[in-house]
Amino acid sequence: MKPIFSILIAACAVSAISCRSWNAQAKSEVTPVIIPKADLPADAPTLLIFRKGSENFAECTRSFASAAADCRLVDCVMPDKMNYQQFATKIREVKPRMLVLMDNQAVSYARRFNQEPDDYAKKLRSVAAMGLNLPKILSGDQRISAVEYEVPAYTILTQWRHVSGSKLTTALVFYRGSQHQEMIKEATAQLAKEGISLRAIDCEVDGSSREQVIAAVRKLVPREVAKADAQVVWVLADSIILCKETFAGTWVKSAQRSKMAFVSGIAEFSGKKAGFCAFSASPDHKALGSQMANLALDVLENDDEAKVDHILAVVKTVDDKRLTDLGLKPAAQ
Amino acid sequence: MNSPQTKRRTCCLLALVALLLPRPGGAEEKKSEEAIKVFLSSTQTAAEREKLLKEDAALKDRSITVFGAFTEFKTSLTSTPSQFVIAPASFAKYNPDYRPVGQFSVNDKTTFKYQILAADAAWTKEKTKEGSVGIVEELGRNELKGYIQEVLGDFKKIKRVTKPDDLFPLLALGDAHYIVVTPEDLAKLKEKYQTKTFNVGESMEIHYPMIYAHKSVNAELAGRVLQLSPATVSGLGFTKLEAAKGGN
Repeated sequence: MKPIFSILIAACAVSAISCRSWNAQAKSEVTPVIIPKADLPADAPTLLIFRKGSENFAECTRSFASAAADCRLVDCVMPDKMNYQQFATKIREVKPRMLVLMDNQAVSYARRFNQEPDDYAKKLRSVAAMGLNLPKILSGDQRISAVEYEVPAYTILTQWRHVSGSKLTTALVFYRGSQHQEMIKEATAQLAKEGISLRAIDCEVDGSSREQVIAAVRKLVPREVAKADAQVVWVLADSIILCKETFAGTWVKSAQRSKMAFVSGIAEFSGKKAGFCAFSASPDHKALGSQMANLALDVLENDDEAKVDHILAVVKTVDDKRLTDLGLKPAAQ
Repeated sequence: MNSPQTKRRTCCLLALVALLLPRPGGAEEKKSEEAIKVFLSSTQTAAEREKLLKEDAALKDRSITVFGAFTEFKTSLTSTPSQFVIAPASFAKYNPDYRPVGQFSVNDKTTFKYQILAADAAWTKEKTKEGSVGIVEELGRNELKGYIQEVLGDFKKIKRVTKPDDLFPLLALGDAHYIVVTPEDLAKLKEKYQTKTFNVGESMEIHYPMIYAHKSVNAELAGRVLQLSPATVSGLGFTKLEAAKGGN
């Protein structure tokens, strides 16, 4: 079971962000670096990037820099122990027109900065990505626009249908009512446009505590998967539904016993060692940087209202062995 | 003073320095001189198209780079101009150093009209000024604004995506009111997505992509790239390649 746990940990349970790389770059000093750009006009807007140090964040930043070619960028890799005072001090030093936030901690500090009493702090706009649950966290926020990091069910399931060439009319998903009600409602409406109905099972039927949800997952997942009344199981990234207590014993076991394909938004889950998901559509960090830059430029040019867009571009990962086990052949990439 | 050993050492050192110094007309220079840079909106991946072009006998020994995103293409071309470019027709308007030498066509037509689609019937042609439109990025930010206004009309906001495959999710997920897509890409996307769309309108006639030659390229050399095989032309999604009118 060890490899399976390591896959779960590597995937940070709910995201494709690498925890290992975060830890590897832990430093006490915060040293922003100006990304060099030739021939920038003197009045080019300055954007201050706060991000973590792993390759996914770096790739997103490079792509952002390329798409926001007319902006002066200051890149600040956040140490693990960076506190709010350090964060605020950097902003006061650089005095950017906008913040670029890549991580939940950066989003949290930026929201706090917007509460400072002076006009500059109150009005400072940000764009965010690579943070979890941003639509929920930023609901009602007037200063931070974002690109959601979780890949929508619409994208995962339409891509899966295309890659596998299989018929898809019903998908099964397990969720937590207290956390995902809105997301499930939105996904149901979006998938209906594609002729896919979503059979959503609430794992908080007996209560919303961690223990109650885990017990419900252990009971509901094998039972509902065994019914085989859907063609696919959409594995929702959630830190309680998918945790070390349920991952190998419940999820992987159910997937391996089932003739339904399990699909997700986390690349590691469809890696060869996982033996879990047949397919994943995970964030394309290069395209995400570009999408984020366009959002930032829209805000700078038009002072657009704050909103959260869906992530568009994905990287597709197929576990050929799982596909063969399911009697499918990859139809297209 | 100049012992044989010292002479040998000096010779070796000079040979090493000569190897390390960039040579005029050397491999690097030849590579940049004969480079072809390609940016086309396509449902195929950049790698697939690059492989196709590299296998064509007419492009043998040339350095070919196919870009998946416009910003990368633009950055690369700005830093190192190439002899040839394969790009959408809009490229010519904003790049006076290049002239069209080859014109791709589909079923004997050299032009097409972009289709404007909405997922909600309430977003009609009359309401485009209030809505956002999604389009594959094929020009710089400000240039694209002017181009869209010229060939498609007024929209409140433009949402840029890197490839056609991202257009349908953009529309279906409600992040844009309209999308703009070529008829060929639309046919391929309809195979993949079932989301009902409404045809709101179309653009003026637009030329299919072209091959452009840098102003430094002579007519003879420019003529050589027109000898792409029918298989390559077809693989890129077109049916014919011919000399561009007024080119060469």
